[in-house]
Amino acid sequence: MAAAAFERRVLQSAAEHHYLRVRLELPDGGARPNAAQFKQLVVTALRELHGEVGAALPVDVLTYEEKTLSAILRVISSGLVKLWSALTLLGFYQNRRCAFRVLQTSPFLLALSGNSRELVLD
Amino acid sequence: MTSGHFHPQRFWLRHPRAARGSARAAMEGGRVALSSPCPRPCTPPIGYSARRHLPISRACRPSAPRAAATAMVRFKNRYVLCEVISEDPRCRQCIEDRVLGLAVRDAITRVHGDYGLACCSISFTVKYLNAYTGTVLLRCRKDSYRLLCSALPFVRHLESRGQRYPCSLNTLHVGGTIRTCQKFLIQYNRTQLLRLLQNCTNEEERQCIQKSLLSCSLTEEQSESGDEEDDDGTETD
Repeated sequence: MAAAAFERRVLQSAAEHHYLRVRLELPDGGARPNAAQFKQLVVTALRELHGEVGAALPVDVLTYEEKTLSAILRVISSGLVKLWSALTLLGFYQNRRCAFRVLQTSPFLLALSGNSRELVLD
Repeated sequence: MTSGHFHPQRFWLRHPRAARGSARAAMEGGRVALSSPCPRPCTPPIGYSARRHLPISRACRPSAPRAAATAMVRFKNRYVLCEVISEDPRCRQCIEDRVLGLAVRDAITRVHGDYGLACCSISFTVKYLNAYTGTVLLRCRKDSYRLLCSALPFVRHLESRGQRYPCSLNTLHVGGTIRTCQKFLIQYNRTQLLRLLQNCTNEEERQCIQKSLLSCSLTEEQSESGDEEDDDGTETD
């Protein structure tokens, strides 16, 4: 009797943004970046590999957890490859080795809410 | 045309038809697409050195293996014709191909980073440079010419021997061959002369420019007539 409370939406054209869940790996005992420094690190990586054009890409840090050093980034779809390659090739944070792990990527933010690879199956 | 060395410009002027395939290929890295066989056996024109001719004659030989013919593809380049604009007349003395190449590379690194520099560095050279007119011809791969062109406005100064002169680069033409760029440059210079002619103030200037205009068209007519004569001569082989 009650009408369906949900509706189905299909996105035909390419999505405007892509979302990445990333984790920064740092050696133990070093300084950990706060949110601003984290964003600065991402922009530095982009500037190094793709110059001023790369640094001007619209990249947002949606969430950042300083404890686990994981973050969710939002980037305009045309810049996804640039951002991903820049993160991959970043090697140093404050003269110490570091690495970015891209854990998940999706055009839908909701898809990052769960990760099937982390499910514990009994 | 009896000199021993290969002179591209002369070669074009004298053999427009013969130059269509072979000379262009020779200018662009010596690679030829083998898929279409040469209509007639290539013989080196006079003054065309044997060393430069060798790969082409091999390519045009009808007995070339078919497998190699499908595998080899010509590398396509883009030639960017620019002019150096500077307020400072001393800038002219530091227009050298090494200095200019460094300045362009620097601009690419700034704008497009390591990735852009690596893309543009493949076969990037300063092909032609005229310090008097400030004309520069740059070459890069076809895939990355957009990176190069977008970085050219960011060249702000030329630096040589510790001195730095502000200047800027104005892109005139982007072509697939040096030949089209040369054609464009001649046409462009002619229109510039006509524009100068319109802006003349006194009679002396006017006559001077008219004279140079006439002289530039006259030399071309001469070279064209020379073309035909030479073509008749080479058609017999």
